[in-house]
Amino acid sequence: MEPLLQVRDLKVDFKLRTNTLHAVRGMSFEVREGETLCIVGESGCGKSMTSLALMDLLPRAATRSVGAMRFGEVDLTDRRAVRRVRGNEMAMIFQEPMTALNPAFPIGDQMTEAYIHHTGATGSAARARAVEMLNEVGIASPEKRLGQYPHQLSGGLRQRVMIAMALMTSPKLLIADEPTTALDVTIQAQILRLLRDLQQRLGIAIVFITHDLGLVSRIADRIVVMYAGARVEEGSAAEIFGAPRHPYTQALIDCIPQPGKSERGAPLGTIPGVVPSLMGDVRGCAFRSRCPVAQPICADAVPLRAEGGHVWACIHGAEKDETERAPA
Amino acid sequence: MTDLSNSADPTATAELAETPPGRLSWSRLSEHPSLLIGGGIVVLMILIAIFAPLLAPHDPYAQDITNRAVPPVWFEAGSWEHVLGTDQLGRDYLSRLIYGARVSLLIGFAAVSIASVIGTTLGLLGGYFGGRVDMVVTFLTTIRLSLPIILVALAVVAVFGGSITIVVIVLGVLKWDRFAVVVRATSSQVARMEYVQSAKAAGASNLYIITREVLPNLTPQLIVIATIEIASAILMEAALSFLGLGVQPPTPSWGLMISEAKSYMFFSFWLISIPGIALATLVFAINLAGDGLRDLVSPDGRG
Amino acid sequence: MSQPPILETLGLHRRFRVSQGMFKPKATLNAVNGVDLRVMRGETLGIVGESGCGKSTLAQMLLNLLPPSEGHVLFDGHPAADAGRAAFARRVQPIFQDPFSSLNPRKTILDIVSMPLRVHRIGTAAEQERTARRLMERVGLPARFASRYPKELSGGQRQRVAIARALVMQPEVVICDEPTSALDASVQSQILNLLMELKADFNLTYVFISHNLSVVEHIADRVAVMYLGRVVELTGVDGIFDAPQHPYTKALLESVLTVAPDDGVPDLALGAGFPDPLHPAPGCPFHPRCPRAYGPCDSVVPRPVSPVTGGAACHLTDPEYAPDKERAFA
Repeated sequence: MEPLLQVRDLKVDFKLRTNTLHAVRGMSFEVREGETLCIVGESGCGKSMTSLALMDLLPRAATRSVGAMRFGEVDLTDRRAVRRVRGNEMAMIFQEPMTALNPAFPIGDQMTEAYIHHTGATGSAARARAVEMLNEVGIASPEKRLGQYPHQLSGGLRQRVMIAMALMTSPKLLIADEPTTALDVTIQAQILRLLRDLQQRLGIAIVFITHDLGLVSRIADRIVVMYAGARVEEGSAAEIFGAPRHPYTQALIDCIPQPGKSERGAPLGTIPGVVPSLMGDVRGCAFRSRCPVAQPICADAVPLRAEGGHVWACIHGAEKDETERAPA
Repeated sequence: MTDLSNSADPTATAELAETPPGRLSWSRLSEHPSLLIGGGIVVLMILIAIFAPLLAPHDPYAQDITNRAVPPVWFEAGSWEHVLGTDQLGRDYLSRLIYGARVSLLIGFAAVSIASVIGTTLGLLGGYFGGRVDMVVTFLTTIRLSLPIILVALAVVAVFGGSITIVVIVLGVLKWDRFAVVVRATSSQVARMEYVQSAKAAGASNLYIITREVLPNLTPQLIVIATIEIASAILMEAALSFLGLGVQPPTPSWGLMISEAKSYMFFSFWLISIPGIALATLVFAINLAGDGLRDLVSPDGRG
Repeated sequence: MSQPPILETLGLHRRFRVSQGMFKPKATLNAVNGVDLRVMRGETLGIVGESGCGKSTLAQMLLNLLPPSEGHVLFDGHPAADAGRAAFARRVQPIFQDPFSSLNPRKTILDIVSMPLRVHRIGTAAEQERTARRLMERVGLPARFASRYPKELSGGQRQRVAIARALVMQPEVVICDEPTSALDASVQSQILNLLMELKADFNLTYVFISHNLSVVEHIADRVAVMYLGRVVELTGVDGIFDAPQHPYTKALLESVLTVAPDDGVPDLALGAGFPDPLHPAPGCPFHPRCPRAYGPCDSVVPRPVSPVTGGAACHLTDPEYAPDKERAFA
């Protein structure tokens, strides 16, 4: 089956006065209809830039180059085409709903605005749709909520409104950039369940961008691990967490304290060193300076290995024993 | 005249220059052309003011009735004897302009030094402590804002007579409002920062925190206001002198020179345009330098 | 428990007056609403709770930065309020959450770390610098950072600076308020490891405040769970994680998303109603969201947790109300 979203060799650069910052260095991934793809990585790894590049919402200083970027039949490198599907078949929700919602307007107005723009519906039809969607995301007495302003809602409620707003136009793809990071854990669990239910009922594909590995393990159909602007590993949740092949993925998993698994009070795993600068030419494996199994050849081009749907960018991991011999 | 010779080293410039923003270096300076140009002009004018006795070709007070209203050298009737011509009393206009720079700079910097101390102190107290203290500061600021400077100056001059000291005091005591407002807003923000909490938790006194943790973070704002206020004080001195409320003749002041020249502006227009251009250039340069300095001292090195 | 606690709170309350709008009367927010806790020498007491539960207000009071509306903070048996800012500061120090606002952007790292020594005039300038440099080395900051400014450092490095500053006067208690919440996972693990090492090296006592249960589980000896200004459960770390008593603790534990690809997203069965701290529910403040609420919950405030024996502030575990439990579930 043709994937819903296809991205090949996406690059995002920031031209600075003397140098170029390569924020995203050749990302490729696909999203199939109705699936959840998680893009996971630490701050500065380029995951948010990737999502903004999809929606053509990059900051002005950024330049984007891409091998191919298709959403169904639509070529996303065509700016006019993007404007047609953005906020329509492709919707986005953000980390902080308080800044994504305009404080000066009631939420009803904000929910209906894009819907009217994209569908040409009348105001009363749009409001009826908004009530339906607020019901859908589990907000009680939706008619009353339409007249309220964002500051009158709690954080969890605002995020529900954001989701309802994104669903107005029946999107096929929802891009969610850290949508639960600003929320309390109990609220986060409720929002995640809501997203999962909506996905099952409406068949929406979700690109979920987050730094939280635990969260990813719970919701993802497939996972892309990003490091220093590039994909280092991709696979199903079972593959990524059961048998991680890239040393970075492995190290990152070891860093998080895991109740019931890691021993209380024992030192946690760490990743020595810092993320390399992405200024100028970045050659070879970006992780090699911090990698416990790095070899001299890691300074050359990184091979892409694959085993079914499990892909990783490392010289190691092709056969199990090779990885074990490597640290010598 | 002794107080005039001190004008060369105004305290306010020292205040601006002594706040190291991290590292100052020529490479960073060169990234701020507005600072180089504006600062260059201001420094030049300050040097001119200091070395006025050496630079002025004539005594600015010496009248020469036979050489009245001589035009500048680039006119046919001009001569190299009086490069910028002479005024209606036959005094050398270049010399008066050079000595006039002393008055403008002295009043600008001295008045703003006084105003910045008053305004910054009040603003810091209000912003850092909040509550009742803040209410008092806000009340004082409101009172000050309801006093028209020119009218107050008029009253003061009527009682004490016009002089440089009076002008400095009047402007200094009246122009602190902007310092107070901006410093209060910024310091109440800074006071909520965790590094202020850390300093409190480390046992530092309020005085220590205000002077060592809060004040240094106000430098960019202080520089901006100081430059705006210096420029405005210089203009205000000119306005007061023009109205006869400021510096009294025969002391050469740019505002007074404009005032004296206004009756002759249709016959000897250079008499009014030369001090006018000097005033405009100085004010422009101060604003330019202020913009550049602010960019230079912001910790995030914006610009 | 024979030894006296190093830090103790007695009936601690903190109220704020909150404006609700131009024409509405001001409301009272009970940010901390009767907290009794004991911090024993050498232990790590974890305090967990969600936003608005009062944990940061509690931290401010433990640091003697905010006067309680009611109740006392005792340090070594003496009221902290009487100790004076400087004397108290030598023994209790903070590490805050935000590594960006916790360091003065206009000071060098060396200045920041040695600041407490200068405030207390401990040693000569040269001695202060030596002490500060030793601490910097101990927390893993290269010596060349001494003359740098905070903006030149990464989040993890900044947090190391904050830790060095907190330890430079050799305090006995360190109040860590969400010290790793703003950090990436790989940096968080480094900082947690460092905190654990330093605790052993310097014989420190930690109060470790966090919303992240996995982190608290890893580092704490005892855990207090807070909800709307109250401690709702207090036990040893094993008790909290292996046999939670309070329904809120259980929900909080379930909502921790550990790496478990097969588990999916937990169904907490909590009501969607977000707690409003300005208008807390009568009775048990948790009852509108509680899946096990019954008879007395909406009218009777649960018995507070004992700071000595611990337990849960819940009618389900209270012998006086427990018999009703069976009926409610029947």
